[in-house]
Amino acid sequence: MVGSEFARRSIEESPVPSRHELGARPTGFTRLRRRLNVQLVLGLALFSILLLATVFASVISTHDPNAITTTGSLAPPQAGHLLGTDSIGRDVFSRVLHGGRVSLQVSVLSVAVALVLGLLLGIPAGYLGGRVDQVITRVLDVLFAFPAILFALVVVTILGPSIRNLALTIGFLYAPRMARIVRAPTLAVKEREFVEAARAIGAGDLRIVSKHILPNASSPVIVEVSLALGQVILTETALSFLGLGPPPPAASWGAMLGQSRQFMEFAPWTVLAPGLAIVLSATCFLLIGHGLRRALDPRERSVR
Amino acid sequence: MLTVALRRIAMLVPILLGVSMLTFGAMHMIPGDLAVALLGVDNAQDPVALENIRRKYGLDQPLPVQYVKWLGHAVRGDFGQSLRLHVPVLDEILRRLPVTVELAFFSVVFGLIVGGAIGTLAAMRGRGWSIFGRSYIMLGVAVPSFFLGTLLILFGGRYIPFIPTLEYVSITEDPARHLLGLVYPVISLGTGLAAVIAENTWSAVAEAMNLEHVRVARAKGLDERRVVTRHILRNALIPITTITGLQMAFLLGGTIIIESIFAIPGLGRLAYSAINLRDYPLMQGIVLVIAVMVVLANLLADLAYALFDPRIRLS
Amino acid sequence: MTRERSGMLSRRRFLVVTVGMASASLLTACGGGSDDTPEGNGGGAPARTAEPTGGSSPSGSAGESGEPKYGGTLIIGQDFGPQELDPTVSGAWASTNVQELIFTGLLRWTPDMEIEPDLATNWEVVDDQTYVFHLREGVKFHNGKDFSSEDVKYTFERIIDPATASPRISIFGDIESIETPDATTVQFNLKRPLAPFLRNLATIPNGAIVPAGITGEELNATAPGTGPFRFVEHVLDQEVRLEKFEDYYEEGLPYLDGVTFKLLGDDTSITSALRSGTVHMAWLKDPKVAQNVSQTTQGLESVPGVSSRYLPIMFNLKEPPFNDVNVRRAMSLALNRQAIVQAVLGGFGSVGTFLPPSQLAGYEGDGSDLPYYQQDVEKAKELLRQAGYETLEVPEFKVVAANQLDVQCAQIMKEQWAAANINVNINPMEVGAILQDWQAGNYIMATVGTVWAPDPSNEVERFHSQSPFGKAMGINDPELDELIDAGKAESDPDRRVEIYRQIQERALDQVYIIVPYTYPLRWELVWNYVKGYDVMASNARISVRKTWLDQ
Repeated sequence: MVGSEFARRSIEESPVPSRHELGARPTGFTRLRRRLNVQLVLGLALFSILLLATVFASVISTHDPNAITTTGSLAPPQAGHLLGTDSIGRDVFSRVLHGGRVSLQVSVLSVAVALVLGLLLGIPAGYLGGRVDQVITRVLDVLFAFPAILFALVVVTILGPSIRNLALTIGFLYAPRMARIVRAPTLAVKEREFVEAARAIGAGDLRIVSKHILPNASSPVIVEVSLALGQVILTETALSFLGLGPPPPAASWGAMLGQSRQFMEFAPWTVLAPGLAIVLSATCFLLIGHGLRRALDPRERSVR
Repeated sequence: MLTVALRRIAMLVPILLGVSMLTFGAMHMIPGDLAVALLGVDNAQDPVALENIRRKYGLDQPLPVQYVKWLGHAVRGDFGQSLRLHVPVLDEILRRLPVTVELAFFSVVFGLIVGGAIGTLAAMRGRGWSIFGRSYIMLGVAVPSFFLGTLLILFGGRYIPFIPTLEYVSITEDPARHLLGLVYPVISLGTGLAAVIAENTWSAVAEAMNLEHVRVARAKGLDERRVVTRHILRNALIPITTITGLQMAFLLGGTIIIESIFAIPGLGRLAYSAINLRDYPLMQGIVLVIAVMVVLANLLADLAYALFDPRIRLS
Repeated sequence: MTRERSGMLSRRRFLVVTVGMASASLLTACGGGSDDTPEGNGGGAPARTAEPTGGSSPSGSAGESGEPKYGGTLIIGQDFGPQELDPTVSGAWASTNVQELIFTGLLRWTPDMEIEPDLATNWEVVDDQTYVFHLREGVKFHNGKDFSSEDVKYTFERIIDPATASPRISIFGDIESIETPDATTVQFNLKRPLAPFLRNLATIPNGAIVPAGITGEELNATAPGTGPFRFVEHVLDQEVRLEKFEDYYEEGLPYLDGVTFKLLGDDTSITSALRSGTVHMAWLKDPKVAQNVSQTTQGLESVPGVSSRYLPIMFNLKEPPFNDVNVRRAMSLALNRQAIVQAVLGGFGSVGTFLPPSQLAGYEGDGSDLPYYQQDVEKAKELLRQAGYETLEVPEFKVVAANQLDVQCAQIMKEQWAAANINVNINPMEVGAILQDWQAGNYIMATVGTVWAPDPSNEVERFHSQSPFGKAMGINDPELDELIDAGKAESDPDRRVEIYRQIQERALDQVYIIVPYTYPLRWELVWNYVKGYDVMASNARISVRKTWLDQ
């Protein structure tokens, strides 16, 4: 979106040197182990909790998330109902656990779509340069101009709120960011001598891309994927908050929050529970993203 | 400088065209007869009206022709009639626009001030501020604006009586109350931006602090505040302007939610109603206008950037 | 509007005619631009289903201690503004809220739900097909025009003119002719006896009188009526402003300088505005919220209102699975209505039928004497098996998304049906879309909540095989048709009640409709400095004309 080269470089440049530059072949994992930091650990811990809770939701839940319990509506947290009941008497705790499934499903699918599109756009842009780069960049700029929520709202309204439509739309709108992240290391690597050398001996473009460029792009991409997962969860919950998520009685966090707002004053757990779930999930992915970035970036600024 | 500005503006054209194409494309995803969708089921009974709208937008003709026709009308401000409101789409949009622009403006100001302050303090004061800064950066993004807004209404409404919740008065009616009524919406909308700005400010300031001339200045014992403003912030302004520009899309999208929660009669809320009620002409107009706003906001950021970065000015 | 063009349009034309002929009260979801106009009446004193709780007793009637004060603007909180102001064609409940302050009719309702004179000072029922009204003199419209019999004639001729496509065409369709022997006398000649005639005249917007010669556009733009307040402006999504009409014909009224409707979008905002006093009164949809607000806010009085709303769940009888009465009976048997009332309404409502307690011949029992009302899951499964289903899959159940209570109800019912091997998929939709589908018969199962109907004939119109909705639904029950026609024409009140009881029995026995509960349409909350306001069973706010602010 921003025309200036300086701006671009300052934002998207991730200073990850190529493996060849460093000499030996320390893999990403080795570097990781050496650089485990608080954020990353915390993030991974949260993520494992999130994963367990989601995968084993049915086991951990105290109730069927859709079952109308006899405890009555809007009952406060108590024995048997860890987080109280909602407006028609369903157990909030169980619903929160199951809500994670939908959010995670949409998020993972969206990011997958964004990743694929991002690679398809970013690598040619960086590798082929010139005209192609310019055109693709303009296209990305256009996509950047659309607020994700607005566009997703429009599409979902027109096409219907299925997980597939949500994932496709959100993925489509996050693709530009992925593309940007992929483009920078592609640009950086393609200038290096060994690429010239590889070409000289007749290596095909595809081979060069897969052997040299992709591995170098892997670090920033992994970071971005993690961050994107957090962003996407927030977008998806915003959409279901507005009523455009999966239809009831699906227990989606955003929808739970939206429907319970009117009970907020006297039954705050109906709002706080899904809200905190959203915050924790988003935080977990952000922590992992930031933690990974720090772990994988040897030239990190010492401040953090 | 002028050439830079002009070149930036010239680059807008293809982007705006692309934006318009995407908006146009979205409308053609509507299942069923587009003419009926644009007229509304009731008006579509009238075959004359149907014929008129088909001719106006060339709906029987190939897609590129349709696009050109539609674009021709759009640039002249003719987006058709809102189905629900029975007024020209552009009129309604322009009426609501100032409200949203004001909200966005204050949110950006909030983001810049709060984010800038936290980032700078975290970079320069370390330890306590550092931890606070990191938490703020994380939570500011992780806490969704609709949750934050809801919490502010709940707790603010209960414990802070002098800040009105859910009371929108226009600025002409009661300026003081109007501004107070914007406090919670601005905080809700601006916190995400503040977090991102804080992060970028932090790294920019930290980097600036390591610069030769800054270290020298500090070693010389120059007044801290002068060092900060003169050298550090000047450097930090560059990435900050850029990041603000990049966040505009996100911010404007957020107005949809915030305006709905806080009952603010702006463009975002109109967008939500339009979408809910399948008011296609209105939807189309709003999507285009918001996208254009994002592009323009980025242009502003670009120009500001060019202003701050001497490298560009001289190049 | 009635020109034919292509195959697709002829379907649309059918839609137009359908809409034109539909009774107004047949549908409309409340909330989010509700469309439905209240008409008709409730016989006798309204029965309260819930005790008023909270701050204090209802604001009751006008005679409060203290003299009425002049001045001030009453601020009413509302979710959405009017869709249109033309009373002849409007459908939305939100429109009615505004119209009832702007327009008046020949007759009007008292707080005890009796009919009293309004623009007509007295009337004679010459025979059950001829009515003569004597009109008030010295009445002016908001645009300065003098009121006379020609306005009455114009108003009703416009309603029954098919070209206007008024939803009320079938209410007044039996008007043969209108005579105006002089400026203050009007005579209605009906084709058939029409028992609900007076009640519909007394209800806004059905009987709202408009100036002769006015067009629909002018009505929507300036809305000149004869009511106590005149329309000033409607700022979309923000407010509707009305101001006092100086030449209003009732001496000394209104006390208020004006009325402003603040449009706040949803109940959460309305609740907040109520608490802070930003609005002086409002009504909330969810009884659980309303009860809490009234209990926790000092000075706020709550008036739950009378049960007038019910949730009609309709089946498409033209196709499987619901063309089989056993399947429908199974659906009814699987439900535990008491549990639904408890869970969704917090007990503020009751098991009911499509004749709510506030209605003439309204049902006031607890459901134990109604066919297929007692839950019996085993029997339900048995009936399903008889119909050939081991499990039943219902692909779509349309519900109005904006009505949270309805969606909650749908979810509970889904759970209960699941226990009987019936899997229902809920599809929340926008009200306009559901109405269209409903009118076109394009649904399997759908529900659109009703508002208060003035007369039971409006409630049962949908079961008539010749009515637009009946046709869309595919109903064909000659026995029921006969009863419905008889009910409309019967003038003896006791016999009318008997007829409607029979209609109810038949419709429920054949399960043409499932009603889980009935409850008050709105729960009204009023600050205690608002005096002289009467809550009415019809949820009409016409008593605002004598309301004053004690501030």
